[in-house]
Amino acid sequence: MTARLRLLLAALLVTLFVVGGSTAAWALWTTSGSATSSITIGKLAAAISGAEQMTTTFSATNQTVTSPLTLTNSSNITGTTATTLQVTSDSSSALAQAVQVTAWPVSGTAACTTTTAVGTGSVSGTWATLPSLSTTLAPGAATVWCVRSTITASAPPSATANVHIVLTTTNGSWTSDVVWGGFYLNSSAASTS
Amino acid sequence: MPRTPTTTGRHRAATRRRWVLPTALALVVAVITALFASGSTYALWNGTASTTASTVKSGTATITVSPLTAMNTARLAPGTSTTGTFSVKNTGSTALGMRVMTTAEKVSYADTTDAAVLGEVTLKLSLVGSAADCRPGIGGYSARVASFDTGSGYLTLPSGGGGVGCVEMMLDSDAPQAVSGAVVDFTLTVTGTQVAP
Repeated sequence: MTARLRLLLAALLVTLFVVGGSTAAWALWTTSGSATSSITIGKLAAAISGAEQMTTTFSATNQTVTSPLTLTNSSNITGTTATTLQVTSDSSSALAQAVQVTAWPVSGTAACTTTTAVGTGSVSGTWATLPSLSTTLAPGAATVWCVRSTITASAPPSATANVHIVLTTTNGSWTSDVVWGGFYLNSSAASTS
Repeated sequence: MPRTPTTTGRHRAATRRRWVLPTALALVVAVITALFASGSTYALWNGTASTTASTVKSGTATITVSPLTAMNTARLAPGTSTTGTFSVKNTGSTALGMRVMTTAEKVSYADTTDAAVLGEVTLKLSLVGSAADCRPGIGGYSARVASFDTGSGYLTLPSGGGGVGCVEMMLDSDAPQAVSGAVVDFTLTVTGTQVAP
């Protein structure tokens, strides 16, 4: 290392140390405070009532029955309640297919009588093919459907259909546990026509 | 007459002179550099005089943070959120750079792992004019609840200044049903650091 190189190196180091070491120094105060809270993620559930009251025995003098069915979103979040049907395998699916059904939403159970006219939003089919009774409900809210069943001439005599109305509540990809309500449709030995 | 030999050779004198200039140059450079860096020189003369009595007070760095309003009044569904507010006030005498971060979170009543729940919840923070202005979708700094940290200097509060923090907790729209029913408790810590002079 030549003398000139040593000199340059010394000058460089002096500059570096002086500049680097002469900056001002200060202490920064800190203080803090906290706040706590919590959130709850919702859970889906469904409830059904009134199905058992739909059990009936059709006869020549009792060919139509009207009964309310209450579907409840018992979740703590908004959800869509929707029904599907099942006719148990040990019962008469032929009878279920021979009973015409019309259902429409009403304001409450008291608004569903044998003389109530079919309202808006009705769906129709048979107890084997009835479209889903679907309603989007707020947490804990319920909807009442007025269900009118009418037996047709094609119904087999002395038959019993065990119908289950299966209900779930959904929100997006979430689905509640299944609940159901069941009832029996019976046809008398005599002709219903 | 014979000549007396000299004891000082010309070559040795030249060698000593080579140290003078570089050394002086290095000293000049060092002094000039030090002067530029420190910005001042110091005189050794001094005198003294008395002043009237005075009081010197140190400043303070303090903040107050109010509790977060209840956020579990509405349950979270996929893609929904709930909001809460808190207020923060710089009660000290110096401006503070604010940092907000979660310092604790606890998951309860979950049918899955804590990480699975925390991985579906996003925390958003924004400053609003009043609590009434805090509503879902207002935006702001956003991160998973377990790793939320705005970093230092998220905002600066002058002495006496304050603000309302709007906290939004959102559940992912594709959250799995396994997280339903879970409860997440969390703590937000607001740290104020004196702004560098």
